[in-house]
Amino acid sequence: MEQALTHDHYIPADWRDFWALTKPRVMSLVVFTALCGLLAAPESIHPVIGFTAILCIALGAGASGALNQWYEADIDAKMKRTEKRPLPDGRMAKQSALHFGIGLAAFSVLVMAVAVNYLSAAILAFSIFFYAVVYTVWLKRSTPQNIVIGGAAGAFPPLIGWAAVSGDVTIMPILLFAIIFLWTPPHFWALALFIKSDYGNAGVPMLPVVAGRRSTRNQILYYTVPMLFAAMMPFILGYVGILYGITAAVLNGIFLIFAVHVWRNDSDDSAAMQPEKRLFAFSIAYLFILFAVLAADNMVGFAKVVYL
Amino acid sequence: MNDDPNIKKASPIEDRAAPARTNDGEAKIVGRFDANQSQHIRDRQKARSNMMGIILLGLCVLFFAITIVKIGVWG
Repeated sequence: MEQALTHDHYIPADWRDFWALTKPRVMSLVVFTALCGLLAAPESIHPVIGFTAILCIALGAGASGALNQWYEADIDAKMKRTEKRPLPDGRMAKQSALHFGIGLAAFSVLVMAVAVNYLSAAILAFSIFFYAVVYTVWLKRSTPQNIVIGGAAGAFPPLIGWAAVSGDVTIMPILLFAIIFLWTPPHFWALALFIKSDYGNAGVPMLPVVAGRRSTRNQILYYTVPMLFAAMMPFILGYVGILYGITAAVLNGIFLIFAVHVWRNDSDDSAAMQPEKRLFAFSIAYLFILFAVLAADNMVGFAKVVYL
Repeated sequence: MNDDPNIKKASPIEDRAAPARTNDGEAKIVGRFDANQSQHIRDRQKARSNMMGIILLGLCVLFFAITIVKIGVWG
């Protein structure tokens, strides 16, 4: 005991710091899309098992966030947006974050496998690996396409929610995956446009830093178009009803208008980037509303066909 | 990455405060610290213990409920 105290021992981190490690705001979006995937599935699930599935998805997302912050503490310290996180601010030892992340990841996957089903547990495990290793360790620091490929990590939750209920993966959950996958680049690049200097200072090769703002604005529009089609596909293929179809069409129209405003903007001054800020804010509302209506549509029984 | 100068280093316990216990559970004090710092650490440990207790209690209830569902008592 005496000897142990001579090594690096740290004041125990506050439990709120562990909570902050899980990126609660990101987790809320993950929980929401997972819940919508779960509710949109054509079968039913016992409320206790459904709650367990959502809890495991939330814990898995929290584990991914903790491992991401553990690995990116050096980058976070260089950016205003992230410099107050527990690790760069010195409120927690790095090893605590690593142990917390690994423990949470293992726990979430194991409980999902035991209480829900193996398929959802396998997808959850893969999504944690994808975010913590493929995106955080490999892509983020090496390519401006980091968001495009890494966006897949954030697209898994509705797939997991669906798999938790049905035990399989059909076309519909893959469409949900595609919507979030294609939504991620316009969403993050809009943000990256008006905080470009932050990413530049940290040496993160975000598209605006590497390819410039003009190219980024073009790319936002390029990704918006397939995203709009993906959002309409559940309705076109008859998996959802008119409620979803009308809502998606309206939301798509607004998203396209905002994306065109961004495309037409030539300003390099962050203060003059209202179109980018508006698109970023709307993109969050877009996803929330779209998935909420998707779940509502299924629950009130507007769907026309039997799911494949 | 561990030695990045931009990351503030968490304070080693011997520099700020060190409430510790020996193997037989007696309070053991190591390093320099004042009463406020000791109290701060005890408060933090207490808050963490309370939170851990709540989480464990919640998990007990959850696992009990899962078990009941799995054996088919709740449909």
